[in-house]
Amino acid sequence: MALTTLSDSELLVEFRNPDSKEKAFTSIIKKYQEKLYWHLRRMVVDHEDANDVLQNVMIRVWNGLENFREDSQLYTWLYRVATNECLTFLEQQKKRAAVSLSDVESGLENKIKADQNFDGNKLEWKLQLGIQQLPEKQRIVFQLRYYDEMPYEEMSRVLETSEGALKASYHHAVKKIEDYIKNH
Amino acid sequence: MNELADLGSDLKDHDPQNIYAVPAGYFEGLPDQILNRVKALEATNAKEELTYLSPLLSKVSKEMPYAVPARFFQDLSEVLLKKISEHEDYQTSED
Repeated sequence: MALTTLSDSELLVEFRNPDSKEKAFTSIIKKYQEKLYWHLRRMVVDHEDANDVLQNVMIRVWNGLENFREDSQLYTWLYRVATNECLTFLEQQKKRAAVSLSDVESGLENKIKADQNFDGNKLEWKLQLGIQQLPEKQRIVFQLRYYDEMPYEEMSRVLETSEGALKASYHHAVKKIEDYIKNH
Repeated sequence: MNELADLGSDLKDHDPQNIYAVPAGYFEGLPDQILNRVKALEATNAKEELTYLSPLLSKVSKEMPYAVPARFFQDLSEVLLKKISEHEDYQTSED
């Protein structure tokens, strides 16, 4: 049976059945891999890092999905796992390098500039550089709203922060990035 | 002014001028800025919200400019299942 057209609830039922577990897991990966990959890639910049974090996320999903209680949507839960894994990764990077946050951030900026497609005159690259100027948590809020167009209600469940605080954070982030683009 | 003199303060001789600078056009643009913030708060979706917050950003392409290796997404689920299976084999042999 092709599982590609099944809803999340149906996929979860298939995942809990040992005979269709792998197929269901493959379908879940295929359904969400690009959204999660880009969510992570925008945060960690480097492809290899994004790939590592994504694989860790999906292994966590494999181990935890059977007990997923469906209090929230699968999509929300996946974003929460991915966001937490990403923050842990960035934290580890900081510790490993024993450098300050600003050093890690300038490292991310350098990674952007090292991308084979980088063109500093193009608006979309200036946008990426502008995003890196934001503090980590605000960067996540910006990415989820700007790229994924996630409703604040949903984002509030992913980040466990009030909708009002998320809205304010996003509005400030937009202004900061706009200023960055205008001045560079 | 008289109050300051009554208090015996030297400030009575100072001309109370504003020394702070304000960006050019700040007050002219402020009503529109505030109105756009209000509209952004009331927007029903992210696209509409962004047109009020930043017309500039609302026009930037959301296409990701980063390079991704060929076949990465096609092969990912297979790579993951292999990794999970190796991990489980390792755990079984450890038990």
